[in-house]
Amino acid sequence: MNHNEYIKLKIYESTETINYLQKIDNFVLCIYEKFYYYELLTYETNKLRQLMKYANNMNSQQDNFKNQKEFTIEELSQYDGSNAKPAYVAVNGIVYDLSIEATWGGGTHFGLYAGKDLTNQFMSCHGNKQEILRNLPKVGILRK
Amino acid sequence: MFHTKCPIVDSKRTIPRKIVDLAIEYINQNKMKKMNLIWIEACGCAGNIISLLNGEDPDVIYFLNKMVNMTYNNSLMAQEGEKAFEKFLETLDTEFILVVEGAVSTKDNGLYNVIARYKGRLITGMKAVDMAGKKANYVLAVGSCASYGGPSAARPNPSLSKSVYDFLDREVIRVPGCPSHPQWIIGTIAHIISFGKPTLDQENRPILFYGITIHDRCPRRSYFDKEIFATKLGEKECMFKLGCRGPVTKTECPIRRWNDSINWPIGDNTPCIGCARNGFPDAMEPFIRY
Ligand code: SF4
Repeated sequence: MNHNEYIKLKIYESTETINYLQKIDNFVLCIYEKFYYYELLTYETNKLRQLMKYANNMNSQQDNFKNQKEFTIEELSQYDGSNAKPAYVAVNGIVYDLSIEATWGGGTHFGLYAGKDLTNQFMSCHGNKQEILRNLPKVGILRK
Repeated sequence: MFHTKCPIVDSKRTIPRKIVDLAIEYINQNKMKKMNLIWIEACGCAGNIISLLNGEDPDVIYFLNKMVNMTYNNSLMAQEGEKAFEKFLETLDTEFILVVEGAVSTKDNGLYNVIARYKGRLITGMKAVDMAGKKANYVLAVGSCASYGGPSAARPNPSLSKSVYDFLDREVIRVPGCPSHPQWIIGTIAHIISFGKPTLDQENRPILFYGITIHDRCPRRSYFDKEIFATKLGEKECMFKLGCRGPVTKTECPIRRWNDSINWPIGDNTPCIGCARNGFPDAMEPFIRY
């Protein structure tokens, strides 16, 4: 089971639990019991909300860019951040806009220049911090 | 104005003053014994000692008279030759602070940085730092070379220079900067002699001076937030597009400023080149881009 399927399964489980809890909450009479189930319900809904948010993010990373602008390596190299041009960088096939990313002054970042595919460099420095990518504006994909 | 709700807001403005006064009082009353201080210039450019001479409030005369007893420094001491090095050896048996500026050149046993000749033998910077580093009560790496390798260890690093932090196997307080600001140096030492070791961050820099990035307190920050950027040097907007390293460099340059607080790089239309951080100069290049 890959990560995607795992998340889907979790979402399914969570909805089932919520349905179940709602049913019980409707039928119990004791007020304390009602509170108890109500608490459980809130907890479960929050969990579901988190899961959905996570899943949406994953989808937007994968699907939404299928129809987006495609860059060849040559095209990408135009956006190197010099002369106030935009600074684009490709990581794992997705092109990100780093033009106003504070750590990328002048389209450069610790000896690296924008306008390139920096997948390897990204992996070696922030390989364990994939969430950095999630907050960056995406502008397209890199044509293989 | 008196703040009715929160007493901290009011006292906040006066806390630094109180600490400063307290430190001065301690020093005047000679509460602490003046500690000896050895200042070794290893593989560097002597920039930090020159920077120290530019100190103001307190200036270097006060520093030398009242705060420490500088027994050895190649630029400032009266003795020369073997006499000078004897002073160094004498100090080793006392309580002392070791300040090193410049990296430690390690190739060929440090032969590319000889600081003295004693009884016919050459004393390398590496040997001196090693000798004093083992015995010192506190070790300060002043300047970017001593703290991180800096220009001395820049590619291709023919002298195999290392930072004092990496070279010595003990706690080293880093006071980086190229050069380091006189008040960062004197301030750190003042803290040591008055209140003990200052609070350090993960990289062992006193957070008092290196706690916040330049970008966070930059007077051009509002331009950055509105995305109005300078396109060439000399313009008054944010120099981010010209390659400013303010966002990745932690110092208090924007409020402390340089040369008796007259000006500082960004105030003088030069983008920050990140001289006080790890990786300078190689990782901070290009210094300007357009
Ligand atoms: S000039 Fe540099 S430090 Fe100042 S706001 Fe712009 S990027 Fe930040």
